[in-house]
Amino acid sequence: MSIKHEVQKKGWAWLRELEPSMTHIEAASKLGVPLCMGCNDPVHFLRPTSQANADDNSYSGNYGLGEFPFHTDFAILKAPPRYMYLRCEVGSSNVGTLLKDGFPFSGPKHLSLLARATVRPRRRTREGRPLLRLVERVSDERRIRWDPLYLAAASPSAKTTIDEVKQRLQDTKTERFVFDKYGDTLVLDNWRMLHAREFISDPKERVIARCYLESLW
Amino acid sequence: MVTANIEPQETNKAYDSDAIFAKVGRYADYMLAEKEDVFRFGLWSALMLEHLARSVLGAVHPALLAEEAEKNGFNSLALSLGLAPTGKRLVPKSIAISIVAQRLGVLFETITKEDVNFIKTHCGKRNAELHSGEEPFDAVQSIGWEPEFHRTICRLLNCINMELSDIYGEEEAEVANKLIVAYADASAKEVLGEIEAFKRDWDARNEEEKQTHLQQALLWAQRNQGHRLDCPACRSVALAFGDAVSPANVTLEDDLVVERFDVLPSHFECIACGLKISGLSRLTAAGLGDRYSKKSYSDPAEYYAIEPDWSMYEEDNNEPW
Repeated sequence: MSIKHEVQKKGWAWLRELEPSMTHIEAASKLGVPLCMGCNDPVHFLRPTSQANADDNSYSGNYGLGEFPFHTDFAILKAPPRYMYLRCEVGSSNVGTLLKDGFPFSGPKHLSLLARATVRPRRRTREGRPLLRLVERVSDERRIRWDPLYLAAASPSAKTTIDEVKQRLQDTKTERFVFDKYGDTLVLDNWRMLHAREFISDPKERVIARCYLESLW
Repeated sequence: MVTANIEPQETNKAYDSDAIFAKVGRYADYMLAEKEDVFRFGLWSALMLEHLARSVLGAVHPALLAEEAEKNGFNSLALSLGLAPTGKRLVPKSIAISIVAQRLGVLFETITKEDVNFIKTHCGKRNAELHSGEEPFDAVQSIGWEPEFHRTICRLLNCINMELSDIYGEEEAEVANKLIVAYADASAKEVLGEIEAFKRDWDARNEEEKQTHLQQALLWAQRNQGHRLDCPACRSVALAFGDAVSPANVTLEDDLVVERFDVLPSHFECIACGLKISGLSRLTAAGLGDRYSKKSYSDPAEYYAIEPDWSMYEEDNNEPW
């Protein structure tokens, strides 16, 4: 099964030591079309940062080396990037990246209010503070956005729905991945999979390259 | 090919179909949270309908929403095309909702004359509410327009490849679809003939007989046995009965646990003139198909009480050994 089909089927693909001779941008380009989200370089590096050393508009600035809650990336934008690729630069066997599938709790039969729940970014973004939906139909596909930190309720049912989703998340199966070798790669569907990071005991241990992809080959 | 050296930018937000549609979901949520308040339900529904109509038209092309050039030069048109004419600060202006509705009727086969008229009338109520002393949403106690409203919303959503459940959620969409189906049931119109027949019979009775039956109906129609309505044939107090269509909303009021849930009527009975109607479609045709809310009151101790464990007690035994 191709990587694209694997991601389409279950929302993610885990590739051990993918193309270790390639740089991160080369490996990303081999998987799909890299997307630049406003920065000059599509590839950027995630390094654990203590709360004191990070801006308060970032996850590190709010959670530091502690657990990051489950979220989708760029949930505050009208069109969040579709795919995300995480690749190990410096490994650590002590920290896991966690995934939960958003599909089981976001279908029409599960949470009837999800379709109605309207949210908006807690602060002004490059797009202002647009009204957004937690679940929306894009062509024939479902797009989920979830960010308990950056999104705020903007309609009556949104607050209730957010609380219900948090409850449902606790019962949803968690997949755990450990990036410990250079090239260990996780490709995920950012419109479907929620991701989180475990607590980090030693910030020097772990560096992960991240790149958003517009599409997969 | 001839090309101009002007690059259009993003459409002005006033004409952006996605930005307009983002409000539709929000208004729908506010509307559905106010089902018990006829005024608020109506006002939010009118905002929702207008924005959905504009979003659908704007999805065809944003320029279709811009005010006509004859009124304001071509500034609005230019803004809708992502152009920025030089000159003083421009304020985007849009066409009236009546024109939006007309254009939708012309562009989409599935938007019927009935829908066009409904959009004009219903959005007209919002204008009357905002710009006059009229009370268009309070004027009627029931929300008789609800089935037509959902039908038009459904048709508009279909124009942009969406369903009611995309905006309402599955539960509310199911209720709305039931109302639409009921409304569409042409055979339900026959009930109007039956009502007319009962009315004639009632009118033919003498005054003493009528008063006796009216008093009997009043006694019979106790609140906790159904939903009180005026009989369409004889105007006495009658009852509608139905099934819950929503889970109970539990609150605490004045030390009592109150459970509220929405009910769609399934049958109606008047014991004064004898009129009986069953089926939501026939009730809707008779003007008796509006959903209503039912309340029940419980003592908190009773509501939350856990069944006591009697195992430590002797068995009940009233007989002497």
